[in-house]
Amino acid sequence: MHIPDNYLSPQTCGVMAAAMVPVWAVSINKIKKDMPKAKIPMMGVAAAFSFLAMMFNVPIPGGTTGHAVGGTLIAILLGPYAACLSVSVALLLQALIFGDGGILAFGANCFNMAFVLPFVGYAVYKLIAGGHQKDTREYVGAGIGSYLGINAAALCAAIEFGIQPMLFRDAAGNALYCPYGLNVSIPAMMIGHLTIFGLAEVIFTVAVLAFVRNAAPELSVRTAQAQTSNPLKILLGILIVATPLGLLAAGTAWGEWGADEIAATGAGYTPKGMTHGFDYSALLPDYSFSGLPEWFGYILSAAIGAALLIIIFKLIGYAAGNRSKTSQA
Amino acid sequence: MRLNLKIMEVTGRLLKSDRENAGRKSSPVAPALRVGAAVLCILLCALSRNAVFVIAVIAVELFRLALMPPASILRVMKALILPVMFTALIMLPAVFLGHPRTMLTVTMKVLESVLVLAVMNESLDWREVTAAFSVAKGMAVFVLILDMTMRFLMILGDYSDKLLEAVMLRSVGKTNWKNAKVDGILGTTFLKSRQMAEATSEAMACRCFDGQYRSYHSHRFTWRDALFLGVYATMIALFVMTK
Repeated sequence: MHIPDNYLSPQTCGVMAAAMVPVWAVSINKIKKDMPKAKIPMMGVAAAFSFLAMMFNVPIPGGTTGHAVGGTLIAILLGPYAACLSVSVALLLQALIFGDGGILAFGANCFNMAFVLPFVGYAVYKLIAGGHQKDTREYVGAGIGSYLGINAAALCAAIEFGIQPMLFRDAAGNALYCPYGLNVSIPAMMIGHLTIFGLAEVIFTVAVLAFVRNAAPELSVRTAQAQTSNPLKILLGILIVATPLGLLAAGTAWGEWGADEIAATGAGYTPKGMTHGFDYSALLPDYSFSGLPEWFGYILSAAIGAALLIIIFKLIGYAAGNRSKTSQA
Repeated sequence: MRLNLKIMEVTGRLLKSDRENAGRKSSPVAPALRVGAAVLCILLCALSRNAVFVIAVIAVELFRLALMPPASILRVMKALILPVMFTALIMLPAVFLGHPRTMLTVTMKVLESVLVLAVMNESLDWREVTAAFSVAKGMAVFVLILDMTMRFLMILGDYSDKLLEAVMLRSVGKTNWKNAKVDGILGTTFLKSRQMAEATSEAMACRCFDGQYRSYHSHRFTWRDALFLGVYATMIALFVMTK
């Protein structure tokens, strides 16, 4: 679901980024007001979970792959506003360091995965689970919420892809950016997400939620505990070491092909916007290092990504705590 | 002069944390292992011809850093910023000469070295570091010199800072003699250091301290040591493989 650069026109990217600005502003305000300062580092842990979930690629027949996002899970544990910021930072890190998702398309990716996904997922979860915790009703709510959340996000991404050929064409009638219209993009995105990827999101959300509720209560905004417990550290470690499983899925996700691949997918040509588009070379492109086995590069990328996210949010929490102390004094 | 004092302040912090953390729980992994691993990592990084090993070390250290309290993370980050930016700046011409990778490699090596030391410094007390060196029996003199140097750097730094302060307080207006008197301050500090060395030697004799450090804290080999050894052994294997 990570839209790369040049698949969306710069105009679309601009609109999506502009749409995200008020969402981020409201989220930051809400976090400042409602989130206990000691809990902000937990947003980093949650972002690390989301980052790792996105590395577990799942294949479906037909050669494309997808992954869970974990946005609904964070929304359930820390609230939708925290989920919005956590997933946004995880996406920023992926785009800047690992080249997963475009820089120009960052706003669009955030809109789909950091705004639509957690808010839809959380609303459905609240509707079903109400105030229930640690029982079947909560887990059913989390499952259905996460399933609908990821599908809503996929639908948004499909629409963003699909409107490109309607709006932007060259003199020869070829699409300038994404060459597939709504009639192709919606089924292509939705078939995967309604079946396997949706299921992956449900399993990830319910399994981690059950684990956190039983073994690591600190990863929830309602508890007072703020120290990362050992079970949570162990779970993070296991996820990092297990990330190479995501490599078993061969193939590229729909809509994430390189400029050299797109002609072979059925488009028949490479859109002009892609050949002459914005080019950003990431530090560690595709989570890999040259001269190193792919699986090892994946583990290193997972460790660096998760560690950076936790460090960023710990420092933010520390700074926020200090500021509130000085303002009280 | 002031810059030198700033450096002494940093080394002083090392010893200050020693006193502040007197009641702290000792490190779960044997200090000797940690000091050894840090030195080895820096050495191997300097020797490695590609970025793979360096990035692997950075990944492990970053993960260890992520598990530390925020105040420690901030101190490590502050220690990192200056050397890394300075290196990047010095290596900038490499980019214009067509070797952007050189700049990246060297900057990453500096980042790795400082990160390894800063993380070790955060998680180990100075007394644990000296204890780590005293594990090797033949190194008693080395440990004594190291320990003395660190402690006197702080004491003499403090002393010369006070002298400088006094000179500045007494000077009014535009005078050249302030600069000229720097050697005077250094000379006085040197004389003071000689006095202090004699006093230390006498104090050592009074307390029957012959310069041999004995560690009364025995460390049993635990699963944490095993994990630590495992991770670093894997990294060394990686170094050999990617050579």
